[in-house]
Amino acid sequence: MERKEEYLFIMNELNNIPKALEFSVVHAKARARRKHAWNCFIIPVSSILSFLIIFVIMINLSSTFAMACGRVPLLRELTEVVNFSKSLKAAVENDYIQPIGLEQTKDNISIRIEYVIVDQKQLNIFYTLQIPENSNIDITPIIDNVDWTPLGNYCLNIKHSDRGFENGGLYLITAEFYESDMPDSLQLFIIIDDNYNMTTSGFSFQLKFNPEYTRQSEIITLNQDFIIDGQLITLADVEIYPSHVRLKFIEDEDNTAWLQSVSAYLENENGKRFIIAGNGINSFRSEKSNILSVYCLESPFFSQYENLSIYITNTSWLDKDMGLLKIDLANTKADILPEGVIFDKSTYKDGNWRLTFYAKKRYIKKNTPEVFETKYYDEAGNEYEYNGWSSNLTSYYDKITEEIISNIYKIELTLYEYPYDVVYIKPAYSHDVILEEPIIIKVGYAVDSK
Amino acid sequence: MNENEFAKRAEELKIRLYRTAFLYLGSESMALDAVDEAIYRGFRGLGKLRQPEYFDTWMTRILINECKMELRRRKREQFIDTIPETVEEAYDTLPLKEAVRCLPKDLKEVIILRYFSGYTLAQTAETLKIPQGTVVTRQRRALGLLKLELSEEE
Repeated sequence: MERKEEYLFIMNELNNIPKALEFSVVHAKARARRKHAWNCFIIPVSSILSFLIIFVIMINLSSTFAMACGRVPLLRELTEVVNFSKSLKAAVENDYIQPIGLEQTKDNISIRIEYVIVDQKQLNIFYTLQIPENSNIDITPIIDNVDWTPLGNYCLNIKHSDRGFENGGLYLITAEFYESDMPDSLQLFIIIDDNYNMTTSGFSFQLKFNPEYTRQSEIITLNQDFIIDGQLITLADVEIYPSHVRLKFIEDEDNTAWLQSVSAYLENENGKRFIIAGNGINSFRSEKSNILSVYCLESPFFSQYENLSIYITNTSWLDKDMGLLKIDLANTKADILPEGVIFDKSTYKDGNWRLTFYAKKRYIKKNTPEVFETKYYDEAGNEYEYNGWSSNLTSYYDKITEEIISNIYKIELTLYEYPYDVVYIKPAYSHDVILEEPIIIKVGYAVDSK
Repeated sequence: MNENEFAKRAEELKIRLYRTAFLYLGSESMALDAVDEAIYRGFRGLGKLRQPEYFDTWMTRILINECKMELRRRKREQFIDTIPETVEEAYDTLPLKEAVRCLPKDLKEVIILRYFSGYTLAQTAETLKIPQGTVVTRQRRALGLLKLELSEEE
C-alpha cells in the first residue's frame, strides 16, 4: 500500500470511535466528586481496605419481620440489605419506605430502582440488577439536579457483597448531603461497566420524593461547652433524622489542635444506646471551615423516649503545628509520625515506592486505620495522590524492645512513579485522648414514637 | 470555567483526544484509559486553568503527558525502539502506524497533532510550547522520514 493510502486508511480507522468514549466525561466527573474537598470517614467491616469496596453484607434475618413478608415485594431482601443499620432497619419496620419502580434495560443489563428511604439529609436507593452470566461489573452512580446542574456537596457510598454484584441481587446506594437539604426530586445517573463483556452502559432515572419524607428532621440547639485536653469544644446542636443523628461540634479558634473524630453515643432514659451509624458515613468536615465537624450516630427517630443523653467517650486530634510529615524513603526514617505508628519498610522498584507502616489499634472500633491523608508532596511542593491502601491485623516484632506486638494493623501503600527519596505527607491525626469518664450532655427532650 | 463548562468543552474535545492517544499508544484500550485519566486530571485541575481560551491545548498537554506515563507504566518504551533519524531506510520497512510510533519523540508529537488529530500550526505550537517555526521544521522532517507527502495545510 502506498504511504498516502496508508495514511487515509489510518484516518478512516480513527473515525471509528469506541462506544466507551461516550462516558469518559461522566466517569471523570464521578471520580472527581468522590475526591471532593469534603472528607468522608468511612467505616469498613472487612479487614482489607480500598476506597471503593466498603462493606460486607451481614445477613441475619430477624424473625420480627417474618409476618411482614409479602406485604412489600422484596421485603425479605430489603431487610437483609439494611440489617447493618439499626436506623434503616427501623425505617423498614415502620414502613418508612417509598416505592419507586423505575426500570431500564440496555446491553443485556436491567436495573430497577425499587425503593428509597429518604429524609432531609440522606438518600438510600435500593435497586435490583439483571446482568448477563459471567459478568464482572462496576457501578458508578452520579446524582444531579433534574436539570443536570450539580447538586450541593454530597458523598456517595455503594454497598455490595464480597462477591460483587450478582444477577437478581438487591443493592444499596447511599447519598449523604452535608449542608444542603434533600431536593424533592433529582436525577440519578448510573454507569455500569461490564469488565467481562466489555460494555459500558448508562442509565438515567428521575427520582421524585414524597415531601413528607424529605422534610423529616428535628434539630435541638444545645450550645454546650466542654474542654478536652485543654481544647474548648462547643456541642452546637443535635440533628435527628430518620436515617441518622448528627452532632455538630464547633472548635474554638484558639485551640492548638483540630478535632478529627469523636467516639460518642446517645442513650435514652431506659439505657438503650444509639451508636455510630453503620451505613458508611461516620464523620465529615469541610476544608472551608475547620471549626465545624459533624458525626453520625444511629437514630432514635422511630423509638419512644422521654429524654436523651449524649456520651462522649474518646476523641482524636490533629495538632495544628504538626504540618506535613517528612518521610525519608531511602533510609526508612520519619522523625514524627502519628501516635502509635511505626515506619517499618520502604522499597523502591520499577519507579514506585512501596511503604509499610504498623499502626496500633485505636479506640475507634471497626475503624479504618487511616493514618495519612491521600495527598503527598515532593520537595518542590508538587502534589501527588494515592488511590488507596491495604491493611490487615497482624503481629509485629519490635527489634528495639524485642517484643511482639499483637493485634496491630500492617498498612501498605504505594507511591506510583515517585522518583524522589523524600516525601511529605499529611497525617490524619496526631494523637488520641481517651476519656477516663465520658462527658455527658443531656438533651432533655421528650418525643413520641413516629 | 465552571464544572458544566468544562464538561461541555471536554465532550467536544474528547474525540480529538482519543485520536491523539490512539496514535501515540497504538491501542484502543490504552487510548481510552489515557483519555479518561486526562479528562479526570483536567477536571481536578480546573482551578489551574487561568485562560479558558487555551482549554484545548491545555487538555492536549495533559493527555500527552498521560500517554507518556502510560507507556512508561507498561514499559512499552523498552520495546518500542526509537529509530534514529539517520537510519532513514528503517522507516520504509514499517507500516505507517508503526513508523509514526517509532519516530523520535519531538517529531512524533508534531506529526500526530498536525496530521492525525487535526490541530493547526498555532495550536500545535501552543500545546507543545515550541515556536511555530520549530513545528514546521519538525513536521517537514517527520514527513520526510515517513515518506509521506502531505501538504502543510492538510
